[in-house]
Amino acid sequence: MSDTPENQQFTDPRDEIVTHLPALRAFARGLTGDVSGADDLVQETVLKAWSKFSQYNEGTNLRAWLFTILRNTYLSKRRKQSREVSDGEGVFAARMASKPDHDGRLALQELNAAMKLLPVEQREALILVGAMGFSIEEAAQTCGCAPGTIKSRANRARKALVEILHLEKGELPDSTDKSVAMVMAGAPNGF
Amino acid sequence: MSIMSGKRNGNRKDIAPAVSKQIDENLKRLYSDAASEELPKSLTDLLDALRQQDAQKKAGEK
Repeated sequence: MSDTPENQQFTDPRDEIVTHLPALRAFARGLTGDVSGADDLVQETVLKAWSKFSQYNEGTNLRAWLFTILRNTYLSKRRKQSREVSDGEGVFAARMASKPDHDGRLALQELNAAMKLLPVEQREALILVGAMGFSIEEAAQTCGCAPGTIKSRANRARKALVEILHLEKGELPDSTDKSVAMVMAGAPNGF
Repeated sequence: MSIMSGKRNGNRKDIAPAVSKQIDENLKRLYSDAASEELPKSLTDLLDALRQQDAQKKAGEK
């Protein structure tokens, strides 16, 4: 395909970006584990994306492109912060016994706390593949690594959650849990 | 505990597909709020401002 600067056959990413913001917010929440930190991160991502749109190849995967900007922003912020703050927080919350409640759901706050304990590369892999519905390939593209790496990181993350939350075999509810199915049915497309 | 070390012998054993499905479903629930909520005003304001800036730039070029 040749580059025609004025072509309009693809949606302008400046218009399309809105459709990806809900998923970006969800991903940011998964990475940061908190709501306001997540929204700050999304704002920064939007600003960066806007200044880099000239580098974006129209017709390629905008979602993966945006998610990559968000994760890189998060990682560089985190690197800076880790020099200042040590991470003892979260551990206690996650260590609290986590039992599925009466209708079989895990306590989401504990799951959130447990996610924070995972190494960031495992966390992001599991969020993308497990929660956001990314294919292994798209997640690999987003994180700049091989598909096999994403797969094993996501699996290691699930195993770690099982250990942290003491989800022994048989302790989990039936996966056909009605309320979960209802929530899932109501989830927006493309999430 | 050696949660993160991955050194323990039995660690290579995969978790049951039902368990991993359950984890994924709970993660979806955990983040579904963010995906279904209306966008915060700060964010839509930011987009408006950026668009306006672009429009002004374009107008200036003409």
